[in-house]
Amino acid sequence: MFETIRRHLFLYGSFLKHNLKNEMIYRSNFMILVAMDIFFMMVNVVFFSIIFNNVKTIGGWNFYQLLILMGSVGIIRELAYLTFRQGFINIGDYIRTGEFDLLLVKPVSPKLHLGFRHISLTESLGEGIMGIILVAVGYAHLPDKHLLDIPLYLFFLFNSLIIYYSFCLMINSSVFWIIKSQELNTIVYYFMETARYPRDIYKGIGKALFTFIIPISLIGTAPASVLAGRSTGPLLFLSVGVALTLLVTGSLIWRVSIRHYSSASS
Amino acid sequence: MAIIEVHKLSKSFDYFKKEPGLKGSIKSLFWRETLHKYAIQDVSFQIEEGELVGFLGPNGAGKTTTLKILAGILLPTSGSAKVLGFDPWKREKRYQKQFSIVMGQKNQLWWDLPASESFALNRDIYEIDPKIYIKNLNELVELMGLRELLDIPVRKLSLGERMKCELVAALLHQPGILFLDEPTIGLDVVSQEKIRQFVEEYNRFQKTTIILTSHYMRDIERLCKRVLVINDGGIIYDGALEELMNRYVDHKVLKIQFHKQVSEENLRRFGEIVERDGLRVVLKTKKKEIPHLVQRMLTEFEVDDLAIEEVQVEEVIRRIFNKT
Amino acid sequence: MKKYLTLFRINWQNSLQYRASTVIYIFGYGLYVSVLLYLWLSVYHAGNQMGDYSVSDMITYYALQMVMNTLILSYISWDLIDQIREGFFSNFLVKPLHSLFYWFTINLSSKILEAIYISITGLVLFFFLREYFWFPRHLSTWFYFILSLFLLRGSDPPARPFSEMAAGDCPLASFSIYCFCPDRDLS
Repeated sequence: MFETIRRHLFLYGSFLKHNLKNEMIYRSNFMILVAMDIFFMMVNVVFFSIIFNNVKTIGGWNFYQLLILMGSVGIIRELAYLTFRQGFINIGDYIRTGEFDLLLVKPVSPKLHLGFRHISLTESLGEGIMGIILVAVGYAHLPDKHLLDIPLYLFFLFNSLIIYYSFCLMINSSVFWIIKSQELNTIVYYFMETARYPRDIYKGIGKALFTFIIPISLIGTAPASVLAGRSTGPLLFLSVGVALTLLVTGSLIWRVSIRHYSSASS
Repeated sequence: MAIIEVHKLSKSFDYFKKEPGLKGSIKSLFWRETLHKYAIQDVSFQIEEGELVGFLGPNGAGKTTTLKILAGILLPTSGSAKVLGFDPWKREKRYQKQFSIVMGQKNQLWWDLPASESFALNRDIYEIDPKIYIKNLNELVELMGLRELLDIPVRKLSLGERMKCELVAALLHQPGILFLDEPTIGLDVVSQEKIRQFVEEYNRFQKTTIILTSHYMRDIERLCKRVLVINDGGIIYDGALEELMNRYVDHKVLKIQFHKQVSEENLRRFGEIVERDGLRVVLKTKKKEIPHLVQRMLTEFEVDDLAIEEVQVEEVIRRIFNKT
Repeated sequence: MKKYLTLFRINWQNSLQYRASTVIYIFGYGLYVSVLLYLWLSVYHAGNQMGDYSVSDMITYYALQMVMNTLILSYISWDLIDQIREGFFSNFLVKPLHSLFYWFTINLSSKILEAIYISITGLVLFFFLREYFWFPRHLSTWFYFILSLFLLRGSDPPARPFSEMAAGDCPLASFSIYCFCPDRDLS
């Protein structure tokens, strides 16, 4: 167990180094991407401030609490790009060209290899930076702070990353049947856009759907609620539970899909 | 002891029949006929350690499918295959570290980075000891003669140079088995020759077991003492290349330059006329009859030049596949 | 003309090959819109009001935006980028096809297919939210709405090759929806 983790951290470091070198080649793109991300984040802040001109809270969250929520989603997105996200976006190409075969013969788990192969620092860096700023600003404006807030927040950021990863794993497993991955990942993108709305807006069947099947009501809300002083025991337990369940289900679905790939193709 | 043991291996896959046209497309939304096709059927063979074996066969015969099963990419439908005692499709790490597969048109090098970066990444993926890595890298680079290419981004290399780098990347962890699927496809003649030389030498020094598929007969002819001829998913010949030639070829080619015109009638007595261009004639003659026929020809006619040649392997193969 | 009809047909056939991803896309997009509806319902049910938009106005606005986004946004520049990168574009330059008409035909045929998909999603949404939807009563409103539709230009989302695309809304679409929505303002 410990040895496996050590090995994967080592591999991650090696892949990260290579990907950074790769990204350095296209430095000019980098500034544009960061600027665009920051612009889109600003648009969202403006969107919420317009709403808050008319209302005091959304689903019980005030403006500064929502800044934390919005920022957290930005941070999670950047973390996802630093680990697995870009690989899933490219999976369709791998399957169409047959290069997925080359992932299957390497002594590294294909799903980790795929993500590590396309680690990107810059793709979502603007959102990451803006995210940290928004969280800091929001947190600074809130009255009660606790010593445990920050470690707990970091833990739930990681927990949300696992939820996001498992969701990508489940959705992208279907690529082995439908070959194209662009539409799927556009949908994942749209869903992540909605992760910045508080979980409290959902009611009835929608609440169940956006918790267990498409877990976007937890990804942003769970970590943000810790800093925003809105966390409750049930919410935190639920989000750890969902993370574990989805990780197991996602890995199973992925395994079945790879089996399908290696028995159906020639 | 056999290092690869394949017994009655079959692989079938489903595909859908679609009627042509837009109507067919819409119809297939609701109902599609499923058909099965065998990529390979009841294939059995054994390969000993250190052998260099060639897979011969037309497109779609099942060569690549067999390689992919041995590499653990594909799950066979039935039968068994053991490589180094492993079931390849279980994809155990211990097995994966002991072989390599290079596919002619699939690229595993990082496009925008120099090849040396991809090599270093493979060192980490295969957990190669840094000292051994440096030693292996130097040896391979020397053997391939690509020292000066190491620091150029892969996208700027020619196809041949890229294939050389692919091979180096695949061999850094000293695999005991190497699968080469069309390694010379699309390369110019000089690069093809270089790759052949390398494979030959590498097999001789490292005693690596190599399975090679190729379209180019020269690859097989030059490298493989043993060939497996695959057609329509089954093995139709397994043995030495020379034996194959003997079995399917009962004649040789006579190339003659006469001093004076010889009538067609007369020529037919010595064999089948393949080509006739004035005084230059090419004949196909039964092997057994060659000694006395040639003797007779030399006494009856004035001959300026005479050559007896073996039939080209390529032609033999073409004949085998046309027959079946 | 005939060759463009053939092109139209082939593009349909090609799209049907990848129907699963398109259906997932349209279905997912419907769910995305339903999240936005949840957001607004939550805002309005807390007793708030956005400007002079009633909750029905807001929901009709978003539903309409969903339909129009799908129909008006055009993604052919993505195909163009792919074609240029993969070198197919020059292949196409030597054929007796006019590039403008070529892309127009491809786009038109994709959009008609998408219209079919989106109307299915639309019907489902309509069923769940029928109490909130309303349609303009005055003929003139419909006229202005359709007129404004023609002012729209399909704008591509910002080109970010190799990445998921940013969901760029067409700013003019809002104008069009505005023409449709506040019945009272125009009549």
